[in-house]
Amino acid sequence: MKKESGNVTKANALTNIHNLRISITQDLFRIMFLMFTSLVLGIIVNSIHPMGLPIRLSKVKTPGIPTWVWNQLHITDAQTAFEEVSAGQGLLVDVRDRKDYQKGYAQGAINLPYHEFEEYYPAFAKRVSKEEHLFIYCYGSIECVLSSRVAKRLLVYGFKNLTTIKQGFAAWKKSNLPIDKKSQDMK
Amino acid sequence: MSEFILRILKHSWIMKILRIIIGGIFIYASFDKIIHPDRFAGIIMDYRILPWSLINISAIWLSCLELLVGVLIIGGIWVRSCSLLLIFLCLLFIGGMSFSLAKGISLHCGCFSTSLSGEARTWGSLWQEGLILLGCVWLWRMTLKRD
Repeated sequence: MKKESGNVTKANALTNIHNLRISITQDLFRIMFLMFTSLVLGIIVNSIHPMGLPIRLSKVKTPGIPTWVWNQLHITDAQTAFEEVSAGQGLLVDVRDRKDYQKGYAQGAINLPYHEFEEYYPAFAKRVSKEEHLFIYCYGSIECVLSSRVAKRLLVYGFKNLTTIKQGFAAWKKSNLPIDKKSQDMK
Repeated sequence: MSEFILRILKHSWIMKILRIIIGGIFIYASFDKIIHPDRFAGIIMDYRILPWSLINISAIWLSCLELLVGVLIIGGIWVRSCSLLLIFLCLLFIGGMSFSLAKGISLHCGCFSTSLSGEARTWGSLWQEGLILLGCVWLWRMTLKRD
Protein backbone atom coordinates (compact mmCIF):
# COMPACT_ATOMS: atom_id res chain seq x y z
CA MET A 1 0.00 0.00 0.00
CA LYS A 2 2.72 2.36 1.05
CA LYS A 3 4.78 1.51 -2.03
CA GLU A 4 1.72 2.02 -4.29
CA SER A 5 0.89 5.46 -2.85
CA GLY A 6 4.59 6.39 -3.17
CA ASN A 7 4.50 5.46 -6.86
CA VAL A 8 1.34 7.48 -7.39
CA THR A 9 2.95 10.52 -5.73
CA LYS A 10 6.02 10.11 -7.92
CA ALA A 11 3.85 9.80 -11.04
CA ASN A 12 1.93 12.93 -10.08
CA ALA A 13 5.15 14.85 -9.52
CA LEU A 14 6.48 13.79 -12.94
CA THR A 15 3.20 14.78 -14.58
CA ASN A 16 3.34 18.16 -12.88
CA ILE A 17 6.91 18.73 -14.07
CA HIS A 18 5.93 17.68 -17.57
CA ASN A 19 2.92 20.04 -17.55
CA LEU A 20 5.10 22.85 -16.20
CA ARG A 21 7.59 22.34 -19.04
CA ILE A 22 4.77 22.51 -21.59
CA SER A 23 3.38 25.66 -19.93
CA ILE A 24 6.75 27.39 -19.91
CA THR A 25 7.48 26.46 -23.54
CA GLN A 26 4.08 27.75 -24.56
CA ASP A 27 4.63 30.91 -22.56
CA LEU A 28 8.04 31.54 -24.12
CA PHE A 29 6.61 31.36 -27.61
CA ARG A 30 3.79 33.70 -26.67
CA ILE A 31 6.23 36.10 -25.04
CA MET A 32 8.39 36.17 -28.18
CA PHE A 33 5.28 36.87 -30.22
CA LEU A 34 4.25 39.69 -27.87
CA MET A 35 7.70 41.23 -27.97
CA PHE A 36 7.80 41.11 -31.75
CA THR A 37 4.28 42.55 -32.07
CA SER A 38 4.97 45.38 -29.63
CA LEU A 39 8.21 46.19 -31.47
CA VAL A 40 6.35 46.47 -34.79
CA LEU A 41 3.60 48.51 -33.12
CA GLY A 42 6.19 50.77 -31.52
CA ILE A 43 7.94 51.40 -34.85
CA ILE A 44 4.63 52.23 -36.55
CA VAL A 45 3.59 54.63 -33.76
CA ASN A 46 7.05 56.19 -33.77
CA SER A 47 6.91 56.84 -37.52
CA ILE A 48 3.77 58.99 -37.20
CA HIS A 49 4.56 60.52 -33.81
CA PRO A 50 5.45 64.26 -33.83
CA MET A 51 8.28 63.50 -31.38
CA GLY A 52 9.28 60.28 -33.13
CA LEU A 53 12.86 59.23 -32.52
CA PRO A 54 15.45 57.99 -35.00
CA ILE A 55 15.77 54.21 -34.62
CA ARG A 56 19.49 54.39 -35.31
CA LEU A 57 21.83 57.07 -34.08
CA SER A 58 23.70 58.39 -37.11
CA LYS A 59 22.98 61.99 -37.97
CA VAL A 60 21.42 62.56 -34.56
CA LYS A 61 24.16 61.89 -32.02
CA THR A 62 22.13 61.88 -28.82
CA PRO A 63 19.32 59.50 -27.78
CA GLY A 64 15.95 61.06 -27.03
CA ILE A 65 16.23 63.81 -29.64
CA PRO A 66 13.92 63.65 -32.70
CA THR A 67 15.59 64.25 -36.06
CA TRP A 68 13.59 67.42 -36.80
CA VAL A 69 14.77 68.90 -33.47
CA TRP A 70 18.40 67.98 -34.17
CA ASN A 71 18.20 69.64 -37.59
CA GLN A 72 17.13 72.91 -36.00
CA LEU A 73 19.86 72.96 -33.38
CA HIS A 74 23.16 74.70 -33.98
CA ILE A 75 26.35 73.87 -32.14
CA THR A 76 29.15 76.29 -31.44
CA ASP A 77 32.19 76.64 -29.22
CA ALA A 78 32.41 78.68 -26.02
CA GLN A 79 34.55 81.48 -27.52
CA THR A 80 32.14 82.12 -30.40
CA ALA A 81 29.18 82.09 -28.02
CA PHE A 82 30.93 84.60 -25.76
CA GLU A 83 31.68 86.93 -28.70
CA GLU A 84 28.10 86.84 -29.94
CA VAL A 85 26.59 87.40 -26.51
CA SER A 86 29.05 90.25 -25.81
CA ALA A 87 27.96 91.88 -29.07
CA GLY A 88 24.35 91.69 -27.86
CA GLN A 89 23.50 88.92 -30.33
CA GLY A 90 22.16 86.43 -27.85
CA LEU A 91 21.59 85.22 -24.33
CA LEU A 92 23.32 82.50 -22.36
CA VAL A 93 21.21 79.78 -20.71
CA ASP A 94 22.70 77.53 -18.04
CA VAL A 95 20.76 74.24 -17.73
CA ARG A 96 22.81 72.74 -14.90
CA ASP A 97 21.31 72.10 -11.47
CA ARG A 98 20.66 75.18 -9.39
CA LYS A 99 23.28 74.36 -6.77
CA ASP A 100 25.96 74.05 -9.46
CA TYR A 101 24.85 77.26 -11.13
CA GLN A 102 25.14 79.13 -7.83
CA LYS A 103 28.75 77.99 -7.45
CA GLY A 104 29.60 79.83 -10.64
CA TYR A 105 28.16 80.36 -14.13
CA ALA A 106 29.05 82.01 -17.41
CA GLN A 107 28.72 85.77 -17.01
CA GLY A 108 25.16 86.89 -17.73
CA ALA A 109 23.76 83.35 -18.02
CA ILE A 110 20.23 82.63 -16.87
CA ASN A 111 19.62 79.37 -15.02
CA LEU A 112 16.99 77.03 -16.44
CA PRO A 113 17.83 73.75 -14.70
CA TYR A 114 16.90 70.69 -16.77
CA HIS A 115 15.82 68.72 -13.70
CA GLU A 116 13.45 71.51 -12.60
CA PHE A 117 12.41 72.65 -16.03
CA GLU A 118 8.68 72.72 -15.36
CA GLU A 119 9.17 74.90 -12.28
CA TYR A 120 11.58 77.40 -13.85
CA TYR A 121 10.12 77.63 -17.35
CA PRO A 122 7.13 79.96 -16.63
CA ALA A 123 9.39 82.71 -15.27
CA PHE A 124 11.88 82.08 -18.08
CA ALA A 125 9.16 82.40 -20.73
CA LYS A 126 8.00 85.72 -19.25
CA ARG A 127 11.49 87.16 -19.29
CA VAL A 128 12.94 85.80 -22.54
CA SER A 129 11.54 86.53 -25.99
CA LYS A 130 11.01 83.57 -28.33
CA GLU A 131 12.93 85.41 -31.04
CA GLU A 132 16.02 85.65 -28.85
CA HIS A 133 19.10 83.69 -29.90
CA LEU A 134 19.84 81.40 -26.97
CA PHE A 135 23.21 79.82 -26.29
CA ILE A 136 22.61 76.81 -24.06
CA TYR A 137 25.27 75.03 -22.05
CA CYS A 138 25.46 72.27 -19.46
CA TYR A 139 28.27 70.59 -17.54
CA GLY A 140 30.76 69.73 -20.18
CA SER A 141 30.85 66.08 -21.13
CA ILE A 142 31.73 65.49 -24.77
CA GLU A 143 28.03 65.01 -25.64
CA CYS A 144 26.38 67.64 -23.46
CA VAL A 145 23.00 65.97 -23.44
CA LEU A 146 21.16 68.25 -21.01
CA SER A 147 21.62 71.17 -23.41
CA SER A 148 20.04 69.21 -26.25
CA ARG A 149 17.17 68.10 -24.03
CA VAL A 150 16.37 71.62 -22.87
CA ALA A 151 16.76 72.92 -26.42
CA LYS A 152 14.25 70.31 -27.55
CA ARG A 153 11.74 71.43 -24.94
CA LEU A 154 12.27 75.09 -25.89
CA LEU A 155 11.80 74.32 -29.59
CA VAL A 156 8.49 72.66 -28.83
CA TYR A 157 7.47 75.75 -26.85
CA GLY A 158 8.23 78.00 -29.82
CA PHE A 159 11.80 79.19 -29.34
CA LYS A 160 13.39 79.09 -32.78
CA ASN A 161 16.97 80.26 -32.53
CA LEU A 162 18.90 77.82 -30.36
CA THR A 163 22.57 76.95 -30.18
CA THR A 164 24.25 74.55 -27.80
CA ILE A 165 27.79 75.16 -26.62
CA LYS A 166 30.17 72.27 -27.22
CA GLN A 167 31.52 70.86 -23.94
CA GLY A 168 29.49 73.37 -21.97
CA PHE A 169 30.72 75.06 -18.83
CA ALA A 170 33.95 73.08 -18.84
CA ALA A 171 34.88 74.63 -22.19
CA TRP A 172 33.86 78.08 -20.93
CA LYS A 173 36.20 77.79 -17.94
CA LYS A 174 38.99 76.30 -20.03
CA SER A 175 38.81 79.29 -22.38
CA ASN A 176 39.13 81.62 -19.34
CA LEU A 177 35.89 83.36 -20.17
CA PRO A 178 34.17 85.52 -17.51
CA ILE A 179 32.35 83.75 -14.70
CA ASP A 180 29.82 85.17 -12.24
CA LYS A 181 28.66 83.91 -8.88
CA LYS A 182 25.83 86.31 -8.08
CA SER A 183 22.50 84.58 -8.68
CA GLN A 184 20.16 85.61 -11.50
CA ASP A 185 17.01 84.17 -10.04
CA MET A 186 14.40 82.99 -12.51
CA LYS A 187 11.92 81.46 -10.08
CA MET B 1 -6.67 31.18 9.26
CA SER B 2 -3.94 31.13 6.59
CA GLU B 3 -5.91 28.54 4.63
CA PHE B 4 -8.93 30.80 4.75
CA ILE B 5 -6.87 33.75 3.47
CA LEU B 6 -5.38 31.59 0.71
CA ARG B 7 -8.83 30.46 -0.34
CA ILE B 8 -9.97 34.08 -0.60
CA LEU B 9 -6.87 35.04 -2.59
CA LYS B 10 -7.48 32.19 -5.02
CA HIS B 11 -11.12 33.15 -5.56
CA SER B 12 -11.96 33.95 -9.15
CA TRP B 13 -13.26 37.44 -8.31
CA ILE B 14 -10.06 38.32 -6.51
CA MET B 15 -8.12 37.12 -9.53
CA LYS B 16 -10.26 39.25 -11.83
CA ILE B 17 -9.69 42.31 -9.65
CA LEU B 18 -5.97 41.60 -9.56
CA ARG B 19 -5.88 41.28 -13.37
CA ILE B 20 -7.67 44.61 -13.74
CA ILE B 21 -5.37 46.33 -11.24
CA ILE B 22 -2.15 45.00 -12.73
CA GLY B 23 -3.29 45.48 -16.33
CA GLY B 24 -4.51 48.96 -15.45
CA ILE B 25 -1.20 49.88 -13.82
CA PHE B 26 0.77 48.95 -16.92
CA ILE B 27 -1.66 50.62 -19.32
CA TYR B 28 -1.55 53.81 -17.25
CA ALA B 29 2.24 53.58 -17.05
CA SER B 30 2.52 53.31 -20.83
CA PHE B 31 0.49 56.43 -21.70
CA ASP B 32 2.98 59.14 -20.80
CA LYS B 33 5.82 57.12 -22.33
CA ILE B 34 3.97 56.78 -25.63
CA ILE B 35 3.08 60.50 -25.64
CA HIS B 36 6.65 61.55 -24.75
CA PRO B 37 9.04 58.93 -26.19
CA ASP B 38 11.82 61.52 -26.23
CA ARG B 39 11.55 62.13 -22.49
CA PHE B 40 11.31 58.42 -21.78
CA ALA B 41 14.47 57.86 -23.80
CA GLY B 42 16.15 60.54 -21.70
CA ILE B 43 15.13 58.73 -18.52
CA ILE B 44 16.45 55.40 -19.83
CA MET B 45 19.67 57.18 -20.70
CA ASP B 46 19.96 58.46 -17.13
CA TYR B 47 20.11 54.87 -15.85
CA ARG B 48 23.44 54.61 -17.70
CA ILE B 49 23.01 50.92 -18.39
CA LEU B 50 22.14 50.60 -22.06
CA PRO B 51 24.50 51.68 -24.83
CA TRP B 52 23.28 54.83 -26.60
CA SER B 53 22.50 52.92 -29.78
CA LEU B 54 19.78 50.91 -28.01
CA ILE B 55 18.09 53.67 -26.04
CA ASN B 56 15.72 55.08 -28.67
CA ILE B 57 14.47 51.67 -29.77
CA SER B 58 14.03 50.61 -26.12
CA ALA B 59 11.94 53.70 -25.39
CA ILE B 60 9.76 53.07 -28.44
CA TRP B 61 9.41 49.36 -27.72
CA LEU B 62 8.91 49.20 -23.94
CA SER B 63 6.01 51.64 -23.88
CA CYS B 64 4.08 49.67 -26.51
CA LEU B 65 4.93 46.39 -24.79
CA GLU B 66 3.47 47.67 -21.52
CA LEU B 67 0.32 48.82 -23.27
CA LEU B 68 -0.16 45.58 -25.17
CA VAL B 69 0.45 43.35 -22.17
CA GLY B 70 -1.79 45.49 -19.95
CA VAL B 71 -4.66 45.25 -22.44
CA LEU B 72 -4.27 41.46 -22.77
CA ILE B 73 -4.23 40.92 -19.03
CA ILE B 74 -7.39 42.96 -18.50
CA GLY B 75 -9.01 41.12 -21.40
CA GLY B 76 -8.08 37.79 -19.80
CA ILE B 77 -6.04 36.71 -22.83
CA TRP B 78 -2.80 34.76 -22.34
CA VAL B 79 -2.78 35.88 -18.72
CA ARG B 80 -0.17 33.36 -17.64
CA SER B 81 2.26 34.32 -20.40
CA CYS B 82 1.67 38.04 -19.92
CA SER B 83 2.19 37.84 -16.17
CA LEU B 84 5.41 35.86 -16.74
CA LEU B 85 6.59 38.61 -19.10
CA LEU B 86 5.64 41.27 -16.55
CA ILE B 87 7.60 39.40 -13.86
CA PHE B 88 10.60 39.54 -16.15
CA LEU B 89 10.06 43.26 -16.84
CA CYS B 90 9.62 44.05 -13.13
CA LEU B 91 12.83 42.17 -12.27
CA LEU B 92 14.63 43.95 -15.09
CA PHE B 93 13.40 47.28 -13.89
CA ILE B 94 14.17 46.65 -10.20
CA GLY B 95 17.59 45.34 -11.20
CA GLY B 96 18.28 48.39 -13.38
CA MET B 97 17.19 50.82 -10.71
CA SER B 98 19.22 49.00 -8.02
CA PHE B 99 22.28 49.04 -10.29
CA SER B 100 21.94 52.78 -10.85
CA LEU B 101 21.27 53.52 -7.17
CA ALA B 102 24.32 51.45 -6.22
CA LYS B 103 26.39 53.61 -8.58
CA GLY B 104 25.06 56.69 -6.78
CA ILE B 105 23.12 57.97 -9.76
CA SER B 106 20.20 60.16 -8.79
CA LEU B 107 17.34 59.43 -11.14
CA HIS B 108 13.66 59.69 -11.68
CA CYS B 109 11.83 56.46 -12.11
CA GLY B 110 10.02 57.07 -15.38
CA CYS B 111 7.51 54.47 -14.22
CA PHE B 112 4.27 56.37 -14.54
CA SER B 113 5.40 59.75 -15.76
CA THR B 114 8.24 61.17 -17.84
CA SER B 115 8.03 64.44 -15.91
CA LEU B 116 11.15 65.37 -13.97
CA SER B 117 9.27 67.08 -11.15
CA GLY B 118 9.00 65.02 -8.02
CA GLU B 119 11.65 63.35 -5.96
CA ALA B 120 14.41 61.19 -7.26
CA ARG B 121 14.13 57.52 -6.42
CA THR B 122 15.81 55.92 -3.42
CA TRP B 123 16.29 52.36 -2.19
CA GLY B 124 13.26 52.77 0.04
CA SER B 125 10.98 53.60 -2.85
CA LEU B 126 11.58 50.22 -4.50
CA TRP B 127 8.83 48.71 -2.37
CA GLN B 128 6.25 49.93 -4.88
CA GLU B 129 7.89 47.96 -7.65
CA GLY B 130 8.22 45.02 -5.27
CA LEU B 131 4.48 45.10 -4.65
CA ILE B 132 3.71 45.06 -8.37
CA LEU B 133 6.15 42.18 -8.79
CA LEU B 134 4.38 40.22 -6.05
CA GLY B 135 1.03 40.81 -7.75
CA CYS B 136 2.43 39.56 -11.07
CA VAL B 137 3.94 36.49 -9.41
CA TRP B 138 0.63 35.66 -7.72
CA LEU B 139 -1.25 36.11 -10.97
CA TRP B 140 1.17 33.83 -12.79
CA ARG B 141 1.05 31.23 -10.04
CA MET B 142 -2.74 31.12 -10.01
CA THR B 143 -2.99 30.81 -13.78
CA LEU B 144 -0.37 28.06 -14.00
CA LYS B 145 -2.94 25.33 -14.46
CA ARG B 146 -5.04 27.32 -16.91
CA ASP B 147 -4.55 28.93 -20.35
